[in-house]
Amino acid sequence: MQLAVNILVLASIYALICCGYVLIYRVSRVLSLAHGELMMLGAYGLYATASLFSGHPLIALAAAGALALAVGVAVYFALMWRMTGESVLAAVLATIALGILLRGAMILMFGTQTQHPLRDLGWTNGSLEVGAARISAVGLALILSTALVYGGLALFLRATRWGIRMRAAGQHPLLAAQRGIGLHGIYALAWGLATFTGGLAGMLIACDAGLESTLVIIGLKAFPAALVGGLDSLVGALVGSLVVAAAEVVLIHYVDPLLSDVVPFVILLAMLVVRPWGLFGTREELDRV
Amino acid sequence: MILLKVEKLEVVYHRVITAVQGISLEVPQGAIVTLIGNNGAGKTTTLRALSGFLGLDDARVTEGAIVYRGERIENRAPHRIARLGVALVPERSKVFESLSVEENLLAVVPRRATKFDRELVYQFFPALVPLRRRAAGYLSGGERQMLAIGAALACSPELLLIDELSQGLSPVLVQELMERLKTIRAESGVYSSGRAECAGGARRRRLRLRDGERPHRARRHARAPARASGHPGVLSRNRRRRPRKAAQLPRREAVPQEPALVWLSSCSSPFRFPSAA
Amino acid sequence: MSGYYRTRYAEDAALLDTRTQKAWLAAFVVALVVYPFLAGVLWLDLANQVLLASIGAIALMLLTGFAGQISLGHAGLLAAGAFTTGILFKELNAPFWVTLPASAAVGAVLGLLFGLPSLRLRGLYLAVSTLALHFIVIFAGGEYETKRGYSTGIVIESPIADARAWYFVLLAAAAATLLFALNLLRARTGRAWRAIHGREAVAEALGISVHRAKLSAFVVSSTLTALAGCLFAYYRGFVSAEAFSLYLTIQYVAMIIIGGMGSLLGAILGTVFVVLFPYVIDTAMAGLGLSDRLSSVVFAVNYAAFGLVMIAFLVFEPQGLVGLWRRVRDWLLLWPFKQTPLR
Repeated sequence: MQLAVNILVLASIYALICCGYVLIYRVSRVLSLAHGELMMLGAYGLYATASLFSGHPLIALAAAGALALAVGVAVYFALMWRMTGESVLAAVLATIALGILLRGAMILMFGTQTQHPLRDLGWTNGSLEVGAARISAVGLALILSTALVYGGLALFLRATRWGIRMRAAGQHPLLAAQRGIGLHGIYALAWGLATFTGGLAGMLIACDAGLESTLVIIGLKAFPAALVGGLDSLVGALVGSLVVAAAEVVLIHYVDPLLSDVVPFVILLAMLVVRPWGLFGTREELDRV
Repeated sequence: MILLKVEKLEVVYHRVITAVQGISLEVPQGAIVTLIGNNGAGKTTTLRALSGFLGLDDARVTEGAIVYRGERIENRAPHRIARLGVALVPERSKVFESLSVEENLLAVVPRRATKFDRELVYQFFPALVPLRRRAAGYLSGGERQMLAIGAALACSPELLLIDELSQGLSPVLVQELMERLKTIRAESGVYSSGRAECAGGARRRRLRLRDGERPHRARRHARAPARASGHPGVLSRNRRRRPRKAAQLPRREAVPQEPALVWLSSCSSPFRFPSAA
Repeated sequence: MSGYYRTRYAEDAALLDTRTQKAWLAAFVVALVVYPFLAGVLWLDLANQVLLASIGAIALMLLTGFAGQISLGHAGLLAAGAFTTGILFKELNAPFWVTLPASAAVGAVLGLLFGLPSLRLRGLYLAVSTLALHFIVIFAGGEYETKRGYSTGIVIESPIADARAWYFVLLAAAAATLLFALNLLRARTGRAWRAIHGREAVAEALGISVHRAKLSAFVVSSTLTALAGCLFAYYRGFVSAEAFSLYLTIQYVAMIIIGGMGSLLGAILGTVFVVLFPYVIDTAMAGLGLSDRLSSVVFAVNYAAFGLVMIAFLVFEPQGLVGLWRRVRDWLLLWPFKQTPLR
C-alpha cells in the first residue's frame, strides 16, 4: 500500500513535468530539454516570492505561478522564435544550451545552499495516514494538482476556441497560419503553460524535499515517461508517468536503490526498440531532423 | 475597383531557382480569375506568394509587387495576410485531420470586425451537417474539399484563392461543387470555379502561365470575340518561343451589387474551352 | 575562386593541391614540433588538452557532421574507454599495449550497440536512444566503482609522466586520427556516409547499404572515442563516473557545432574554442576583478557563459567558425573585388 502511494506521488511529479514536454512538442515539434532547469527556476521563483511576500503564502504561490508563466513566454520570445526556421536539431541544442545557461545563472543568483521554501511560506509538511500508508501533505498536493492541471488542460484543448487552435497549429502549422491563427502566439502560450506546470512541479518538490541544484535530474528522468506515453499525447504522458514511476519504485524497493537514476532510461530504450512513437503517440515519420 | 494587382512578380526558391518571373495580373472586385498551366508552370507558387506562404520553403519574392487594396503585401507573414482578407484553400493538407468538422470551423480566426456565422457553411454545404462530429481525416475527398472551402469562407475573406479545386474529385462532384459555389457567390458574393470549362457564368478571366512567365498586359476592357483556335488557356512546357495568344474572353456586364469575394483558381488539366462563355 | 582547377581524379582525391599549401603544411608541422620547447607549462597543458579532445571531436564530427547520425552518448563512449582501461589496470595490472586495443574493442562493440537503434530511428528519437544508452553505460561504471570500493574513482599509473612527452604522443595520436578521418572520407565509406546524410532513400537506390553505412559510422566513431577515453584515463591518471556527465557530451557537441558541421577543420577549430573557453573566462574574470567574489561558483560562471555562447552560435552563426573562416578567406581571395552574397 505504501508502495502504491509512493508510486502515485512520483507519477504525479513526472506527469506534471511531462505535460510540459508534451505541450511544447505537440505544438511546435521541438523537444525542450531545458525543462529540468525551467522546473528549478519555478522552484527558485517560489523561494524568491516566499521571502518577498512572507506572511502571505497564497499570494506568494500565485505570484510564483504567474512568474513561471511569464518566464516561459519570455523564453519563447527571447530565443525559441528565432529557431523556428532552423532544423529541429538546432532547436533542441538551443534548448540544451538554454538549460546550461539557466543552471549557471541560477547558481550565480541564488547560491548553492539548499533552501526550504516551505518554511519561508510558513507552512509545515504534515504527514497524513491513508489506510496503512503515510503520505505527506505536499505529496497529496502533488496528486491533486496533477489531476487539476490535466483536467484543466483537457478542457482547454477540447472545449475552448484557443485550445482547438492550439491543436490545429500543432497538426498543420501552415494551414493554421492560413486560417489566421498567429503561430507565434500559440507557441508562446505553449511555452508559458509548459513552464507553469514544470515550475509547479518544481515548487512542490522543493516544498517536499528542499530546493537544491540536483532537482534538475528529476526533469531529465521525467523525459522517458513522456516518450513512453508518446510525445504528443497528454493521456500518454499520464500513463507513461505511471509506468515509469511504478517500475522505479518497485525496483528500488525490491532490488537496488541505486537503480533509480537508470530505470527510466532502460524503459525508454525498450520502448524505442519496440514502439518508438510511444503508447499513445501518433505514428509519425521518425525523422524530424 | 481593383482588389488585387500583381506586377512583374518574381519568386526565387533557395536563392537560386527562379520559379516565376514577370507575372502580372489584376483582379477586380467580383471577378473570377483562373490561372491555368501545366505542372511546373508556377501556379501554386503564385498562389502561395499571394497568400504569404513562401518563407517556409526558403522562397522569397525578389522582384515586383503584390498590391492588395492598395497595400503591398508581398513577403508578409501569412496570418497577417489572412487577416487582411485573403484566404487560401491549398492543394494538399487542406483540413486539420484530427479535429472534427465543427472544430475545424471553430479553429478559424475570422477577420477583425466581421462576423461569419458558421451555420452559413452548413447551409452552403448541407452534406456536412451529419458529419459535424466526425474527424476531418475520415471525410471523403469531396467532403474534405467542402470543409476546406467552408473553413476558408469562415475567415470572411474578400479574396478566396483555391488551388486545384477539382483535383481528385469526380466530374459529378465537381459539377455539384460548382453549383454550390455559384449559389454562395450569388448569395454572399462568392464565386469560384475549378476546371476552366466550369468557369461559366458571369465574369471570368483566364490567365495563362507559361513556364512561370506571364507578360505584363494592359487591362482588357474591350469585348473581343473568343478565339476558337488552339488552346487559349493551355500551357506547354516547351521553351520554344511561341507567339503568345491572348485569352480574349467575352465579358458580361458588371453585376450591380459588388460581390464580396473574388477568386483565383488554378487548374492543370488541359482541354478545350467552349468558344462561348 | 582561387583559379585552381582540379582536372584529374587523382587531383580530386589529393589532400593537398598546390605547392603553396604543401609549404604551409610543412611550416605548420615545424611549428607544432617546436611548440613544446617554447611554450610555458600552462600553454603546454592546454595544447595537450586540445589534442586529446580533438580525437573525440573528430570522431563525433564523422558520425554527426558527415554521416548525419545524431548521437548524444559521446561521454558514455569516452567513459567506456576510460573504464576499460581502469578496470583492466586494477584487475589485471594490464600494460598500455593491452588496454589500448581492449578499449578499442569495447568501443567497437558499444558502437554496434549504440548504432542498432539508428537502423530504425532517426533524428530526435535516435538522439534520445543514444542518451539512454549513455546513462546506462555511466550507471554500469558507477556500479563498478561502488561494488569494488573505488567510490572516489580509480587511480591509474600512466607510463608517461612528462608533459612534453605527452604532447608528442597526443600530437601523433591526433594527427593519425585526422589522417585516418581524411582518408576515410575520401574513400567509399565516406561517400556512403555523405549519401545517407543527404537522402537515405536515394542512397539505398544507388546501391549503398544504408544499414551497413550507419553501423560503420557508429563503430568507427565509437572506436576512436573509446581510444580517446583510454588516453584520457592515462593522461589524467584517474577515472571516475562523475567526470563523464551529460555536460561533457554537450561540450563535444558544442565543439562540432561551434566549429561548423561537416568539416574536419571545424572539429579542430571547435575543439580549440571549447577547450580554451574556461581559461578565457577565468582570465576575463580576473581582469574584471571578479575572481575573488565568484571563486566558489566559477563553474556556474562557466556554465552560464558557455550556454550563452552556444546560443549565440546557434542563432547567429549556424555554420560555425568554419563558416566565419570561409567568409574571411573568400573576402581575402576576392579582394579588391567585393562579393555580394545571394540574398
